[in-house]
Amino acid sequence: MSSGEPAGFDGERAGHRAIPHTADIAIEAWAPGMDECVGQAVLALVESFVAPGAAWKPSDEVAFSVAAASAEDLLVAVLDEVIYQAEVHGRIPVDTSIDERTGATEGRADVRFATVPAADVELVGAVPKAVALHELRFARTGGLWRCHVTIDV
Amino acid sequence: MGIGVELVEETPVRWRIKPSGRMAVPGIVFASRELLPGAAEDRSLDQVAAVATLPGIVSASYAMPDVHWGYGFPIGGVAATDVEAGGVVSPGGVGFDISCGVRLLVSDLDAAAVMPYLPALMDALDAAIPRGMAKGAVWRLPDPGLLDDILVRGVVAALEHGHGQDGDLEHCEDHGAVADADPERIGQRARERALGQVGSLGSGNHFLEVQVVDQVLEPAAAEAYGLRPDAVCVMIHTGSRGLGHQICGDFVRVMERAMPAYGITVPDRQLACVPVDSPEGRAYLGAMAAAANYGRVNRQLLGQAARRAFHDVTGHGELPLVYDVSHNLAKIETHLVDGVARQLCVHRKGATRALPPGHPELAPRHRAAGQPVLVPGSMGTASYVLAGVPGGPAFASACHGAGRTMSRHQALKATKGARLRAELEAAGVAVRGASMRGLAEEAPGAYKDVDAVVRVCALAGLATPVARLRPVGVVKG
Repeated sequence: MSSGEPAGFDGERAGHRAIPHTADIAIEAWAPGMDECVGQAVLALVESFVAPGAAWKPSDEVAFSVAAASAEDLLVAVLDEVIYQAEVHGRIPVDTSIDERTGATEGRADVRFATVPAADVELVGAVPKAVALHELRFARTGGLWRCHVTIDV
Repeated sequence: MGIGVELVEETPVRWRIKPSGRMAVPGIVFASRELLPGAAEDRSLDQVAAVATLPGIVSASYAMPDVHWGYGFPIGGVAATDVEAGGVVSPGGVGFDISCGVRLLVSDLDAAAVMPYLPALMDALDAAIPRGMAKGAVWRLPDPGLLDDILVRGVVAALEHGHGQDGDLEHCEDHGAVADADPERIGQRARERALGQVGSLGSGNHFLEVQVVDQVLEPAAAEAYGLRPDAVCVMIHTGSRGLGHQICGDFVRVMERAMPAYGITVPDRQLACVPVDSPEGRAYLGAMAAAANYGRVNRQLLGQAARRAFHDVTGHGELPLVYDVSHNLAKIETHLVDGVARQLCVHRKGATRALPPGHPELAPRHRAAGQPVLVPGSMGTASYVLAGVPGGPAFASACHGAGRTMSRHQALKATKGARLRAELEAAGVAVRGASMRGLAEEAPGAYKDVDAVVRVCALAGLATPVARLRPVGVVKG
């Protein structure tokens, strides 16, 4: 997991960080695999508003399926789900697994979040409300999947 | 975005971005040289230029003095499109927090009477105002069907259930409800997010402040608004919570898919748009109006909670409504364009409608003074009440706040929440926050100087200052 410092961006095989944006927040994540990169982005989003602590041990899980016609669609749908789960169901995802479907239902992915109760974690920042498409980037470059996402809070 | 803008100084408070590339109209930025966004850290002027490419845009893409970098549209942007000429509506031109806005209530008590009660009052507000990530809202809807009533009839529905007092409709923008709201256009997830949040502040830059009228700058207008020197006020800044965000996100995707059929391309995905007069455009406006009504009811219920806290602690709980106005909204309005009356879709994203004196939509009490324009400062700094003026140069619009200059990230590096709280308390501002980091992200130093923003508003003829309010207590989301 990254320390959140920009230096980690090229130095680690997988990680994430928050970067400045005057409107709200922007997150970046990187990893060798696309699914792993989405998982890192989930952690970046979660750490923008709750502090890691002893409560990080997952106590519940939630499974859902999302449209994943493109890597960007998958990323946005998974991050949207983080916001929805936190706001409506009081669940904070701390681990993400993704299975992309093949065959007749190709273009969708099955996603599973391991979660902790929102009531058990400390709020440390503005709660995210939406994923913006402004300057959204998610692609494989230089041997790693890298994403950049602006989040409205 | 790579558009690159060339700024020409027209007056010391008005700058022009010459049309280039696909820009259909110029950009007009109302700012002093000091308030102009710095290109290195803030690309809002590129965004002003990008908005100027939208189909059907008329006159100019405007930036208010508090403009800063948003996504797609700048925050502090005003753009009007001609409905009959294929003009578009863009959810990005309204923003995620549909009908985010400000409500101002005024007490019959003066500062001297309230200050002895202030710690108890702040504790009562701390307990009464749901915020942050915690579940809970002032109004737990007894029946989910009531949500539709709120979405269609706005504050009227709240009053029917006993949540309000005389004057609450008359002194709310649109008399408490935007017409033509269509809850059918709202998805399931938006409804789920809406149900438990009627009367909740949220987080980020939203707040409830106890303020004191520090200066009256325009006595006749102040009197019309019920503001007198030293009067204690309550200012509430919040919006339509998860509902508005979900609607915006849903419709940006709908419009992205629909745009090719209308031959529309945009320089930023968040500028996705369709003609106002199209099935998708009408659907968005119906959903947006519903979220606007929800946002007003949200502020109405928070205002009620503040009235109860005042009643319980001071025995004076009446607090008439001065005004409630949105600063994230699109409206179909009639304006003169080159001397001809046109029906326009006026997007105000981080900009406040500012109707001039005599406008028929104003309440009788406000008609001679013009519409109250509520301008919250950053946390712990002054806020202002302005009035709309005749001949406003940007479709009767003015600023909406101080405008960020520093990202949350930078503010965190520069400020520690605990120290900020201590500094505010030392300056006589009682603080009740949801998190220390949340406080630091909203440090006053992360914003432009609200006094300078208001000065430029006045010099540019956007609105005239009526009263300056200073905070004595902050409840922070």
